[in-house]
Amino acid sequence: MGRASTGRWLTSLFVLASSLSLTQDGRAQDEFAVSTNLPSDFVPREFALELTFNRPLESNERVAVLVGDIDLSDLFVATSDGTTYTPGLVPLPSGQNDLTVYLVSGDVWREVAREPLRVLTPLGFEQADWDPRLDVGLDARVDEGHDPDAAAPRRETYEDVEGRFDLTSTHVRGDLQITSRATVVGVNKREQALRFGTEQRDAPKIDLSSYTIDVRGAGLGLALGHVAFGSHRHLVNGMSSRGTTISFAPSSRVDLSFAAMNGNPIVGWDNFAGIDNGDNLMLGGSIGVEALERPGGLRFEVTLLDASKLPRAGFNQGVVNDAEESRGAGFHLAATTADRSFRFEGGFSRSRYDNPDDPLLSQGADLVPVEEETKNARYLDVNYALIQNAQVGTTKTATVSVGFRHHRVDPLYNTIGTYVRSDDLENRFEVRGAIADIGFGVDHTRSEDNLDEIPSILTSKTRRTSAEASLPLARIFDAPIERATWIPDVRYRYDRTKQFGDGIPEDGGFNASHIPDQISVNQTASADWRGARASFGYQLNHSSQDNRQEGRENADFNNLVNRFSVGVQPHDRVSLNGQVSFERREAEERDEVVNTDRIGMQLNWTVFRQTAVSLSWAITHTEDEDNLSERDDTTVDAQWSGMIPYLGTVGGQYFIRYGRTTADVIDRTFDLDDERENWNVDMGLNLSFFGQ
Amino acid sequence: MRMRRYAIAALTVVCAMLTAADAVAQIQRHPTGVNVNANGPTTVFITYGNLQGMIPVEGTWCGEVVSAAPDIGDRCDPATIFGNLPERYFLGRASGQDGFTDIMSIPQSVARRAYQAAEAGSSSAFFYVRRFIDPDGLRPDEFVSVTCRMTGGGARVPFSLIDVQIAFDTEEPVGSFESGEMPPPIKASITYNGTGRLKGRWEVVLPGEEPPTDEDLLTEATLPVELRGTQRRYTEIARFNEFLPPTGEFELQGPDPESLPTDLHGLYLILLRIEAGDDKEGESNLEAAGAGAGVVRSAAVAGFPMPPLRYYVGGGIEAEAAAFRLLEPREGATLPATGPLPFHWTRVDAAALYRIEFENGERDRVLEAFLEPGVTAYGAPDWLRDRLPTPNLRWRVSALDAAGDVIATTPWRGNVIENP
Repeated sequence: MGRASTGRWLTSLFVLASSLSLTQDGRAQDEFAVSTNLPSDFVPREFALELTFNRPLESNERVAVLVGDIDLSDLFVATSDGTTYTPGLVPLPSGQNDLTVYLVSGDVWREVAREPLRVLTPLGFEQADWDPRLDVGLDARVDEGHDPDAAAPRRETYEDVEGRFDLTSTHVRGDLQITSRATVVGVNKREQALRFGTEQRDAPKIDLSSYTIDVRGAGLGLALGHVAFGSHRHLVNGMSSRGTTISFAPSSRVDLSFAAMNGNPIVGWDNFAGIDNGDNLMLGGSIGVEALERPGGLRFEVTLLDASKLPRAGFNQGVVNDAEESRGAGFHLAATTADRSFRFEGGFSRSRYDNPDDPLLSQGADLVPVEEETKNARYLDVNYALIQNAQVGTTKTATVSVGFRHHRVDPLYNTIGTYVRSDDLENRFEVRGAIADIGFGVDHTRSEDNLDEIPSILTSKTRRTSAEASLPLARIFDAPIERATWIPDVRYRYDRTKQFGDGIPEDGGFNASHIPDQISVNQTASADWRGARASFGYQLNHSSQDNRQEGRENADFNNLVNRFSVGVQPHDRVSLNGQVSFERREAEERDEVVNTDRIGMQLNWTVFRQTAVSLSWAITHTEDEDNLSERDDTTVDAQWSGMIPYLGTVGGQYFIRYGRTTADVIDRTFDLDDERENWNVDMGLNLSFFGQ
Repeated sequence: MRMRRYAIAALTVVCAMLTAADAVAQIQRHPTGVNVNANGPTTVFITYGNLQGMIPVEGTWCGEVVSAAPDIGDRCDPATIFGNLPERYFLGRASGQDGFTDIMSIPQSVARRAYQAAEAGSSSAFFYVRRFIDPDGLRPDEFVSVTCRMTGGGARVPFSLIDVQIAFDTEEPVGSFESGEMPPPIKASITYNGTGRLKGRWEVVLPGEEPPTDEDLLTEATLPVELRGTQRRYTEIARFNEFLPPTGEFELQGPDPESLPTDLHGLYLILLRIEAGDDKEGESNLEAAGAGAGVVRSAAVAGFPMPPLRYYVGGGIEAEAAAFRLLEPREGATLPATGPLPFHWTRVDAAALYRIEFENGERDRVLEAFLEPGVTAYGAPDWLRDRLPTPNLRWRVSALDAAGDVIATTPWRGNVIENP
């Protein structure tokens, strides 16, 4: 035996030893084995991974490589005796992960090697990413036309500048994770400023849209900026605003959280922390305890809230509101069995609520004072699975559950932390399930108000029954994927509500015709076909409102809506969507029938790699059958847009758009005949920095 | 003596004629009384007619009214005033023939005062009194009242919107997306009184377009009938027509996220445009109010403009990324319990890399793969099925540019793995 053959033997021995150490079950399942160039200590994120095979791959074989849950196989490059990956766009993930190698034969993935991969991080962080974006746009209305003069826009032609700066970051070091995001927007016209609606001439042209900073580690979490707090249904529930939250889990079974935030969602530089205005501030805290080892088995939560609010609407809100103050406490108990066949949730809250003096309401007058009230609310949800994952045939299962929900909210109960419909007692019974892919649900609700039984206030009772069914026919009939496209998903929902007054209140200004007695029925059926390049949908909705009280017997309404939608993508670069709807409403008392028909269409065509055309068109026609009123509306937009070439790392985009709207309103009852037309040509240029 | 009798008789006739003239001239209104929510806000469309040059000033709520003599009508008893219509809710305007359209938005604190008065034994009915004055100061003030009856806010109360919040399915108040990226779903959380059909349109203000005014953003039913055709329209992206039962809360789903444009860079505004509908309780009879002829429908009246939802699109991508789509398997399709698991998508020429992500029914990521730019399909490992605690799976694909930044992302697509 010569020296060369000795070397081959040693090499083979090394490969064999490596494969023995790497194979999952510690033995060579076949002759294929892999060795790696991984050292035992940390490697940089750009470390070039090399895998060496002990034999060439067969024609029906390939190797798949995963780092953690990330499949990087496609990025590996074959070498003479294996494969290699040199990280570029996708660096190795920081921290410790398993490098897992599979031998893929046909559709079968067989693990042939697994080895720990430890990756270093930049600047001591396992991950340190900064992602700034700056967009600056110049938009101009270059031409415009209108008829008549009354339809003139506020500005006939103009040039506007707008911009956005967006910064996101992620830093990870061990258990510590810091993520942040901030967005600043700017305009040159104050009327378009973010806060013009509330600040008018004082609205800054460059303003903070939102920011969040989130720090987590060692069971502690700190969030600043746009945050959310609360999970008590009747006290504070998912309240979202600018402020600070701190969460802490001293053990796996106890968690605490605290929040201080503005009374309503805001934007802008002012009140940066969200806690600057004591008259518009929400303070809250909660503690949760898991009584059992199993999470969710038995959980107890206590929540406290102290809040005051000025009569201001949130940023994306329109509301009729007041100055408010509320302080309250609530507890919540949730339990489930290990197999989740039984679930229980219950809660109670007590809230003290007041409306402080509001000069915008009093306007100098002496108002009857509002008495501060302390009121209660409670809820209970119970759900039991009668049948759980029972086998139906060979491949289907069945699950059926029954539930009961109850809540009682005192009259005048109120809290700033969430919307609660006060003076409401409700009990709901429900049955839900899925049998062999057929989903269904039935529920019945009974509710009433005027719980204090004040004789001069109307008591209303409501009875509501609804049922729904979902039939994914392709799944139900086990249609093969290639035929499933032609088989629709069908849904149906029925909803009946009866609401009636319980007698005529004394000394409340009521007579019999003021007492409601109404039955409404709402039904919706739909069918949807979805293919790879085409989809079609149909929806039918009918509602009726039957008024039965004295003097309203004929004041009934019926509505029927037929809606069709179609989407087609004949080519990767072309998509076409269309909608057609027919609405018919009948007012029986007036013997009036009004029809509204609409056709809408959108076309997107990527003409060239960097150029796109889009067209949007909608026409709506409304007419009553007695020809007393008629209305036609049309909107058309045609747009050409494209990327600006030769800008290097700066991205540039331009567009030119033609828009036209027409409205023709005729109402012979009110002697109205108004016809309007507006058209415009807009152009724009946008530059994007850092985003390339 | 006879002269004296004639003089007295003549004076009596003149006084009688003046009184009759006053009676004819008195300002009328419709409706004269409405059911309102005892535990929350209420908004009502009211028409006043026969103004004869009188102009409206403050509107006041009170528990009792007393004679306004020497002025005309009944004014609020100063000892029972619950509040005055705040300036921010004043949306009244001249309308019809010598008429005035008023939008009465009762804050919850006013209803609360009335409730507490009723609880103490007073009548639960309270009054909204609008004062009208002669701008020349020659004629006496006129006080015109509307009776408010306390109910639970359901059927028989005018159909009105009292709280509307529009948001993406994220926490941030302003959306910020990359060009070609699919925005998350939109929803409008609506609190209302009464019952009826909520119908209208979702529209979008594109970059470069003049934004709407507050007047444009009012619901159609909040405007006098002659102004309803004058609101500015924008690009329509969807139409809705939903029945709202008399239960007070509704979540209106926004337009299909795929229909939200993200091809152009810049600021977009999503508008909720609500059209006037039928509601017997919200009807205002102009003839009864002396303001013309016909009945004005005002279902879905609101005392505030509908809030626009803003989102910003940026980033430098190529136009074709906007057409980026998933192909197979189709939405909701059942995948076989054994055998291959292929996933397909359309091509983006500008892509330097594709990333496909898989999540289980709990929205936890179970697998991610990076693929070369020429590849538009991925065969998932057979053990992917074993990593799903439930049969539900969702997946999406992102196209990355040469810097590793996402230039286009498809929406998530949900599929189900067949039971073995």
